[in-house]
Amino acid sequence: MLKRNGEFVRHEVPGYPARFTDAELASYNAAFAIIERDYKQIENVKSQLDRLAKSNWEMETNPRPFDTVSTRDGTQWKAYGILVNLPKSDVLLCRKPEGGEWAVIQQLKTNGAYAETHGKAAVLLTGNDPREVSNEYIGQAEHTLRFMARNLTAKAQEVVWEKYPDSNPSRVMRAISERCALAVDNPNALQQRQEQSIDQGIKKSRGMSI
Amino acid sequence: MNERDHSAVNSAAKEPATVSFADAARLLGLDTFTFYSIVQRDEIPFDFAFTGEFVISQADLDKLARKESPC
Repeated sequence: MLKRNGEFVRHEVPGYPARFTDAELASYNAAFAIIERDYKQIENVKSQLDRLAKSNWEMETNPRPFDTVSTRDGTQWKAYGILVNLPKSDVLLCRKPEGGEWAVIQQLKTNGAYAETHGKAAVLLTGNDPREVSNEYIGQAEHTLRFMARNLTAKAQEVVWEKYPDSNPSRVMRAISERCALAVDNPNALQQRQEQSIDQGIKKSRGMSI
Repeated sequence: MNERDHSAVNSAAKEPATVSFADAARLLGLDTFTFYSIVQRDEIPFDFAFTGEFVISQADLDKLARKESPC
């Protein structure tokens, strides 16, 4: 087994090909714990967007709305689908009863300070084709996820450099940065790397050479 | 209080109060993802902390909660 700074290099982390020492892993885990909640929200939204992007868009001849949404200007929209479901809000695909205009509408489910002053429903996008407005929303939401991932990396940096300055912080930060970026741009690669490392761990534990 | 203490107090008083995006989302009653999308729609300006983390000024957050336009 390899050694670095007198420590065995034996720990794997998701999305990063190299292994960590005990000290590097402690730094990684401490920093990741700070961002984990928001990181899981990235994973959650990304998986919903991917599912949405793969949907075949076979519209029924007479689709039935499941809800009516009122925006602050008094416009009533009929909701036909949930694009993204979050704990405190939904992003809905809606249509105007008259005229047939489609919209992506963010609907807040709780009465927080923002909902009280800005209303519970906000139109994010409008268009004539439900597939087009949905695809446009997917692009915007992925941009938001990249914005989140970048901020989580910066947030982790504070822990890694300030609390673990002697535990190879640049290496730890590369792993965290890579994991955050993959969660948005290629979650399948992240999943595959995790499965490979589990697979290799099983083979090693059985004494097999790879 | 000596001169150095005075200086520290004055310096702290000049520093604008900021909050993280996660805290701003919590204070507004929003999911973190929703708060990031609000920032991207230019409803509220953001700045960088010395670590590179994005932050919101407390004053702008208060304006957003009162529905004055901080941008």
